[in-house]
Amino acid sequence: MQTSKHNQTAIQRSTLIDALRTILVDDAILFEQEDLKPYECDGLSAYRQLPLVVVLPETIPQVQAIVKLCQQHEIPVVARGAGTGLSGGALPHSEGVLLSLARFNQILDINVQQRTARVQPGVRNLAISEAAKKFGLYYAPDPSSQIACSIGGNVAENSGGVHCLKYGLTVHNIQQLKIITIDGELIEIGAQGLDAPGYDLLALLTGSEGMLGIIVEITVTLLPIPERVQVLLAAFDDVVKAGEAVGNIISAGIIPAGLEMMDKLAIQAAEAFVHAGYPVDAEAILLCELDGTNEEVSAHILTVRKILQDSGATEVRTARDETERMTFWKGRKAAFPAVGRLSPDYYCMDGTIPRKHLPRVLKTMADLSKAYGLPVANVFHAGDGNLHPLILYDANKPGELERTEAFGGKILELCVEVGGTITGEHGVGIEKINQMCVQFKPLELTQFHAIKAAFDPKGLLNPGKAVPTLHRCAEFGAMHIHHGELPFPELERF
Amino acid sequence: MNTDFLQALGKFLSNEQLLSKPDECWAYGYDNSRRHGQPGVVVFPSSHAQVLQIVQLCNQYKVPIVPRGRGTGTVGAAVAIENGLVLSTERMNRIIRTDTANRYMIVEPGVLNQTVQDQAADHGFFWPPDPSSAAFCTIGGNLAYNAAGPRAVKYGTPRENVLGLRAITGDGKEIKTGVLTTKGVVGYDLTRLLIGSEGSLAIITEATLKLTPLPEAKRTIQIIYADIESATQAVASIMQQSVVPCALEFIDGAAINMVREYSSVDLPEQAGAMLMVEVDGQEASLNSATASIEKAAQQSGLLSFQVAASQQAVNALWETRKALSPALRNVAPKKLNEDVVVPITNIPRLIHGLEELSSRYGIPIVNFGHAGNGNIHVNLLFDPDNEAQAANAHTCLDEMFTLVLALDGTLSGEHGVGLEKQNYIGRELDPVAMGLMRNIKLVFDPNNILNPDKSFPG
Repeated sequence: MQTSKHNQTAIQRSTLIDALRTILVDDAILFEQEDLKPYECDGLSAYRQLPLVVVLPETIPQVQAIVKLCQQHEIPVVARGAGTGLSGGALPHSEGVLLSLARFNQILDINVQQRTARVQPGVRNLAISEAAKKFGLYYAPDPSSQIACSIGGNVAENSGGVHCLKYGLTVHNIQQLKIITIDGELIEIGAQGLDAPGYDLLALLTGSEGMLGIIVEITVTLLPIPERVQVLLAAFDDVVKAGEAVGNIISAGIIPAGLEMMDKLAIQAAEAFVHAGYPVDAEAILLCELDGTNEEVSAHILTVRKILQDSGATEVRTARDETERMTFWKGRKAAFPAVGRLSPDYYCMDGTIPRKHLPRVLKTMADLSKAYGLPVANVFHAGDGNLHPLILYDANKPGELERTEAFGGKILELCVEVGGTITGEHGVGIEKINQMCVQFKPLELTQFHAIKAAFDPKGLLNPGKAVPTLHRCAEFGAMHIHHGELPFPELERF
Repeated sequence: MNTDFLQALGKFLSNEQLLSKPDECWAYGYDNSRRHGQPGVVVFPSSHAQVLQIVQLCNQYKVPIVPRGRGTGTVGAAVAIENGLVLSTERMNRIIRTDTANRYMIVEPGVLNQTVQDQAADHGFFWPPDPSSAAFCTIGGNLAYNAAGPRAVKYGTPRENVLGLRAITGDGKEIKTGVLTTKGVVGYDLTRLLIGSEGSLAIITEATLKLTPLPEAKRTIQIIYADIESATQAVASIMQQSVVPCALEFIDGAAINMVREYSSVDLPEQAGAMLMVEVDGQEASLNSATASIEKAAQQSGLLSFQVAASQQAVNALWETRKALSPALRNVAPKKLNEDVVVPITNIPRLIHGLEELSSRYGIPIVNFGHAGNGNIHVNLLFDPDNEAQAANAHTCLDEMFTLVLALDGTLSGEHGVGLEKQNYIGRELDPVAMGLMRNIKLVFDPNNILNPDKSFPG
């Protein structure tokens, strides 16, 4: 049986490749084992799978023809941007086509008067801001991997970043999409205005993790570059006080451009790694970035400084100049690789909670850390309540991995319990598919499946991701970093 | 009306929650589109649980439901369906919770927009969407239409200002969408899908509104230009500099003439277009913000740039804008009011195109609106008693939509589709996208019970 199934697949594969050759040039079709290898995983390297074939189309008609072919033969299609995703959304399907959008890498148009850029999905996030800079404009969402990640992937995952506290997620910064449906039809959704008639398909597609359509063009909103940016660093002798300071800043009516928190373990690791000048004896630090006009920033610095002091900060520093500002951020952005130096393995989560509960959740996490005998480093987007706890463990010690997973599960349950969500910005993908069952009731999951079916009745687009089947709801999974083997270790993260 | 159905409703609704006499129901049949349908029954549920029971019962008896806030909508989405059920949310008007540290407020759909603003202001916050009818319209209605208002240019529409919803789908299932946090990427974005769906997918029973801190200070500026080109060039320049205004309103020459004729507001003779700009933020930042706007406003046709120095001066500057609506009502009580959107750089072409239509069809057209978003309220001032004008009005409207679409625009910026624009949206949306929308409708409402036969062409 095993052999005949294998043969059957092999025949299908050669037929498929022949058919693809009528659409694409030879170097746009990869099927040899060694050519497929680079595509076997995305940023979540714990899951690996070779696809049947990888295609690298360059034009919209090619994508349409590929999708039609796959639909006709009922072959799964998984779209891929730069493969920097952290939840396995671009993990290939063993029986499917991996459709890379890497060659869709052109910025088609920058309209300065409309403040928009029309770009292809394979364009890197940072490349948009670089191209817009000469017009005094930029694209706001900035996932830490922005140097490498593609805008198409950002739309598929609805990515955030440090500055989404003030400027919103990807969905708030795009206006139009061109997508290819599973029938191979090209449609344009959204509008260059406030709102388009009919249902908000743009929002539905954003964050749908490649399960509803293939994105082939994106119109993003550009913002004027703020006149001045300034960052404050505050040290605390107590994590709970730092958590309270976050709520106090927001309640005072200030929305910083970024509001990040690191705890002692993370501070020490980052300091040892990049020498950012952090106070290493502090229990927690907050980094608060303010942007706007010169006067506005000056006024906000005074207010925030006072709130931080009133909240019990032991020290508040303002970056003296742009160099020091970049140094403050360097420690934060390098925190993940830095923590990776402390322990053979770590396990990262992306739970998000209403800000007010930060003190309670941080306290409970510290108690759990003691109970499980596993250290936790916390580095996260405090202003959004978006936690990235890192549990340090050693996979070679028997039982430690299991304990880590149990601990991680407790943390995510805690997030949902206080009114939060299991993922703030990394997406569900394959990684958190089981935890979807904690957050959603069967009825809600059924609704998601029905929407999927409205777009893709045969379930060919990225099957098995993001929304669990009802009988799957059972266990927990997460991102594992083994022996410091962080995928794309050169990238700044989170 | 089926008596079994009415009896079944009566089992869980009190007498005060159920109207079935035609004269009592009549008042719940129309909205601000001035269309009317006679409801068979009007219900006033007071809880999520009662809405659930009503929707389930309507599925069982196949009775269509029209959800209704306060009927201030202008395109007919709340107009009753003959012999259908109208579900009024006016008794679901509780503010459930205000949470300032997490910056949200949980409300029932019947709460008035103004009540939310007042309550939030007590804590130093506001909820950005502010349609002109804020004093009378409900949050549920605002969400159904994705109704925005002037502040959207800086703060976005309801879609950007809602964190999550609780709702009953058309087939009578309870769903909860979204999160209490500003981030969250789990599952499809059903929150934004339900917002703007005009009551055709689900009935919202609870909304978590994202609150924004009230700015410390605000400054109001009136800028007058000799011509449309200078004014719209200024709009584009203002939108490109780094101070995002919290209001950027545009009034064209025809509207200025109207104001001159019907009010005592004094405006320069040569005025061909006017902008009203507001900037908000820290008091300390407003001088430089104003300077930045002034720099962007320097166009060849600039006639005057006036910053209000006091609250009286602010009121005086807004007087022109506010005098507009009553003036229009005096001139043409049955005017057609459309709210199209074009990319801001196409505003001059839109206005010139409308001038041409106006002279060709002999119908005065005046335009004003939220220029920062390219959202223009086009008013066709026709007299229904004038046969020639009445005959021309709809052809003229038709040509206007063609013009808007040719300028890469959209047919409705904030008023919605409802009954009024139902037959036009097929021109804007492509058939594949519309097919997907119909599929989505079926997912939520397989029996086609919620606001059937609206919003999409038949």
